[in-house]
Amino acid sequence: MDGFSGKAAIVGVGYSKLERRSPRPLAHFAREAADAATADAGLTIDDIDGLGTIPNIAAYGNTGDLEGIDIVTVPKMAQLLGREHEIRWHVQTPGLCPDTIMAAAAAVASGACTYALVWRAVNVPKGRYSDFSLARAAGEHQFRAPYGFTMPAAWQSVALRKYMHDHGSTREDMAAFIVQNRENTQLNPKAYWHGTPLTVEDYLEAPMVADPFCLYDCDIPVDGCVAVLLASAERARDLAQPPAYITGHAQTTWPTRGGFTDSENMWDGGTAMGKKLWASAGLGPDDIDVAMLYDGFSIFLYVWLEALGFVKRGEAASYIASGATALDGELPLNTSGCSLGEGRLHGMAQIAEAVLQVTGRAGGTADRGSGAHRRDRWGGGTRQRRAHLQQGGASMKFGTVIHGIRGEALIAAAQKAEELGFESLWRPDHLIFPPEMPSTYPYAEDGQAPLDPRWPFMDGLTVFTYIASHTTTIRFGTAVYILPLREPVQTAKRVAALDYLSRGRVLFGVGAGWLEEEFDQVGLEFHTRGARTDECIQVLRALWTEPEPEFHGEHYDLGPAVFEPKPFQKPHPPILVGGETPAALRRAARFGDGWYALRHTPESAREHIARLTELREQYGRADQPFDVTVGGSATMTRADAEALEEAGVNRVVVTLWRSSREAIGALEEFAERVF
Amino acid sequence: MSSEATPAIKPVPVPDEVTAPFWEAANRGVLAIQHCEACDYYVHPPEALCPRCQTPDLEFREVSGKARVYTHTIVRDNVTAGFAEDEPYVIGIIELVEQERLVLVANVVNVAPEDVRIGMPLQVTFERLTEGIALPQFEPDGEG
Repeated sequence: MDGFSGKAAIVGVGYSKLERRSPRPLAHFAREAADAATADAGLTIDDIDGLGTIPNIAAYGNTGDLEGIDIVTVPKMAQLLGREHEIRWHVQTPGLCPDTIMAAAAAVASGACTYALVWRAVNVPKGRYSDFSLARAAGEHQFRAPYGFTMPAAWQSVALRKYMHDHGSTREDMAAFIVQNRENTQLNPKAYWHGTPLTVEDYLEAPMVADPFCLYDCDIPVDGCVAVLLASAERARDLAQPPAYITGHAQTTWPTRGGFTDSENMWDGGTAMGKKLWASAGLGPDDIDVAMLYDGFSIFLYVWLEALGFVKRGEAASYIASGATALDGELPLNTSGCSLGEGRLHGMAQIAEAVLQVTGRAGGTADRGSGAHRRDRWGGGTRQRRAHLQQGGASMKFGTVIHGIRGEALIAAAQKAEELGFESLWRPDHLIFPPEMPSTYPYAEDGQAPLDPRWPFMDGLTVFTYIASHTTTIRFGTAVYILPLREPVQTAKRVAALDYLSRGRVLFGVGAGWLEEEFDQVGLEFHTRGARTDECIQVLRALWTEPEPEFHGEHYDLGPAVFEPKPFQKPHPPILVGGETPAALRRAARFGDGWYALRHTPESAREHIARLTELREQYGRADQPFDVTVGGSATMTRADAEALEEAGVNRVVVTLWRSSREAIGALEEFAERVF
Repeated sequence: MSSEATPAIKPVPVPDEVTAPFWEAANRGVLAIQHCEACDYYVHPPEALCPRCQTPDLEFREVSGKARVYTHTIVRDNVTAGFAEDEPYVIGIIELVEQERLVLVANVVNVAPEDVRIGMPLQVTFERLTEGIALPQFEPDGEG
């Protein structure tokens, strides 16, 4: 991850109406979008002191470029807002919306301005979108215009033909995305094609523009404007909407040669850019829950899906056709309909929709995106991304054990950990102790557990619920919750509540327990705890995922029943099985979504992970998500973390302080050293 | 821009400092492609420095005129004057045999648009546009 990640956020999104061939000048649309974006953030026009746009007219050839009619430049917007003298920073970048966003993000992060408005205002050109009516073709035009290669649709259609040829795709295959995208569009009332469904037959019978492109492979030109408002991460926290942090970025100077799209060339450039993007964000394609990819023409979707590593080369069309990119698929794509369905806003619509998605607001505007949340794999893309971006380092996640019972100290430590980029907070679990601790602790040679029965052991789920209301992103892990010490319906109920209220922040570490006296005290059998743990996990899954859960086991028997609400995370909070014994590893492999381990060297971690992989294959669960958490030393270094990551560890949990007075300093020191 | 009148004929290329030798050769009925003498690499469209080794040691070399269809499109909906009457017409991305992915844009002519295929062998031919400008075009290679 680079030093820029997480320093800026998009805090407001605003659309004008989207129309076609409107008699209203573009300036009206621009002001409308600016007002909407500002109001969305809970700010006023007078807060804006930075402006950025992509002023290009959306046409090729001979069309007008009248200020306020066909284009809205920075000086025009300043005038439309009545802020000519107050704008402290501005930029105009030709071509690509992300360039402007990055410039504005740098401006707000550095303090060059406080609130930057970035917009894309586009109109439907008079006459035709591409009407090259010059008698002379100079510069890049000289090698294409004389050949009638004067339409953007034609420039990109050659890439689609090559793609279809190389990968054996038919026009029927190509219909899949267009139809799916039009379905998304039906949930977006702003969209131009809202209310106009499209079938495969419609696609196949549509007029050809530049064969193999038909009308519906091309975006739909609209008159409209979309604007977003950026602020520094610090300011973003206090505004009306949850911030959408800019986690990673990538830009490229890779050229299109000859003025047309060559899918091979785009793939080369896109792959290199994808690597930069993932490195910048500290994420990979598997971390992404929902994608907004530029779709001015259909071919771009296929190349981007492959170049960014979501699928292998040549597999994008079949991936889309499988339903994987539909709203209820694993990677919902262009959920608002974007350029092909909502209207041509040149990528700014993708940015706007991505903000709505990661801040959980897409559902509110158009009742869409629920699919994205349903498929939220293990805990919220947004949260995960934020945690990642705040970690300033590799993709390894760091958790810290949070001791203590004093409310203010817990909140102060939790907020500091969140700010520094710790992914999670962890608390061990015990219910009750005997006055004298026995020497039966399995993970110490002398059998002595590293705890004193007189320590005040507050209930972890309650503590986390308290902390949840004072934090926004940091996650809560139980390390580990002793499952067979409680009735599983109670457990399911409480964990679901915490997960729901915290908007999906639970990491549910579970174990079988080791302290026989504790079981005796609550009147539960100790020797059946392993079997009961296995059943408890299955009961939890049933209660958390089934509409009418039921489970019939040897120790537990329930349902059919009704159990609501379900947890926020879908399918449910990850169940990380703790323990080092062969039985524990088997349980993790067979029933777990991850393994929660004690401290390990990279070598021993690698051995255990290999064993787990083997077992997961035996249980037919090798294709399920699985993450590995190990304990780490408070004095570990960045290199130690990298070595563990290399060994296959996803998360390290450290105990950094004994007394809450030391917490803030210890967190800062660790973050400085390791992140 | 908007003050210029709609032309009756196709847009005419305007050679510049970098591209002039290409058009001069084409005007003589010769296909000449820029070549980097330093790293032995063909470059098209012509560049000021070699995009591969960044040296200015670029010369124009006559090439065989033999090529294949790398990919193409069939234009059916272009309103640009000089082309509307040609529709449907084929724009080819033409890969010259001299180097992998050395491509240029040209129309594929003297063949029905629906018969054009990726990989089809082509040879260069020239279409006179004005007294000083001829466009390299490509047609099916009779010799295969």
